[in-house]
Amino acid sequence: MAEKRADAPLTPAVLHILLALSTEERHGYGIMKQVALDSQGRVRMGPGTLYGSIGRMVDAGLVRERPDRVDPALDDERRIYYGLTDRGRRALGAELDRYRDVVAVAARKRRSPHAVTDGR
Amino acid sequence: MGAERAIRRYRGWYVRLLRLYPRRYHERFGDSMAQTFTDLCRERSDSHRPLLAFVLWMFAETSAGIIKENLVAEHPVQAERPIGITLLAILALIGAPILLFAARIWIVIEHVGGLPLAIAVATLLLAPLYLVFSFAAWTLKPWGWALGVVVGAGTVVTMVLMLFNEMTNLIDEAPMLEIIAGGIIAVALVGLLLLRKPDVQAAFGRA
Repeated sequence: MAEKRADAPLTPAVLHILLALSTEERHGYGIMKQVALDSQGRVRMGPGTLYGSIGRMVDAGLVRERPDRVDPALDDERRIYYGLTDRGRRALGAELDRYRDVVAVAARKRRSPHAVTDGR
Repeated sequence: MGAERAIRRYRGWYVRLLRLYPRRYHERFGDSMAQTFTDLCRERSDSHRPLLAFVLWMFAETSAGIIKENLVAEHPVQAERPIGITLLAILALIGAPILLFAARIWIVIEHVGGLPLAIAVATLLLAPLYLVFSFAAWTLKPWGWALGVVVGAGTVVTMVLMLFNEMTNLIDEAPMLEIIAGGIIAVALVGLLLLRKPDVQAAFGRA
């Protein structure tokens, strides 16, 4: 896989996964639940999308696999956890900076998201 | 209890589906994906929401992932393509000709029986096999897209011939089906033989 810069723009799935992992290490199901929570149920990610993205993120050095362990809140099955790398944190920071810049530009133009959708 | 039994059964099917991933990917994520699938099913079941539709959605979503990862295994650039577009392209490529064949065979079944019907059914079975073959060649071989173009052109020509025959009744129903199936397969084989030549591959820019 071609090496990407850490500040390269991210796909929505990758951004949500990085956000979900920004507070603590999580297993696949935990990431899905956190993404659903963060997006208020708007982002729906199946196992195919989640693990496809995780695989590419691990290869790109954004995320790393952690030793498998049991999640006491679920059952006694051991699960592989994933955590952010420094590179992943930088990528997330760079993406959030980009979003802040966009919001700042919109604010300078005195346009809120509602104004845009209402056509004002 | 009934829900748990259903979840175990769905998980068994899902585990079989996961085997279609490339081997390396399956070894890496297969167990975790099956585990996540079970977690999602349990969550759904515990909240008393319909399980079957959700399971079908996950099967469809994972199938799209399987196609994508198999493409990525050969052509890493495909990783950047949104999964929906990949799925749509594949459905368009495979689905349209199959629908045409199916419609044609339905017409035959309505009018004739016996040997022509057997031929029609055989054609129906051959058509998807052939299309899967040409799709595999298109995706897995570096020059496969050129074969796809050749085969697509052959399909269009034979479909036009078929429609022409429908209007003129020049040839009887059953032999026409054989001609169509044979014609497309012949075009695919000729294209395959031609594209094995390095100079032809070079002409398509993908030696």
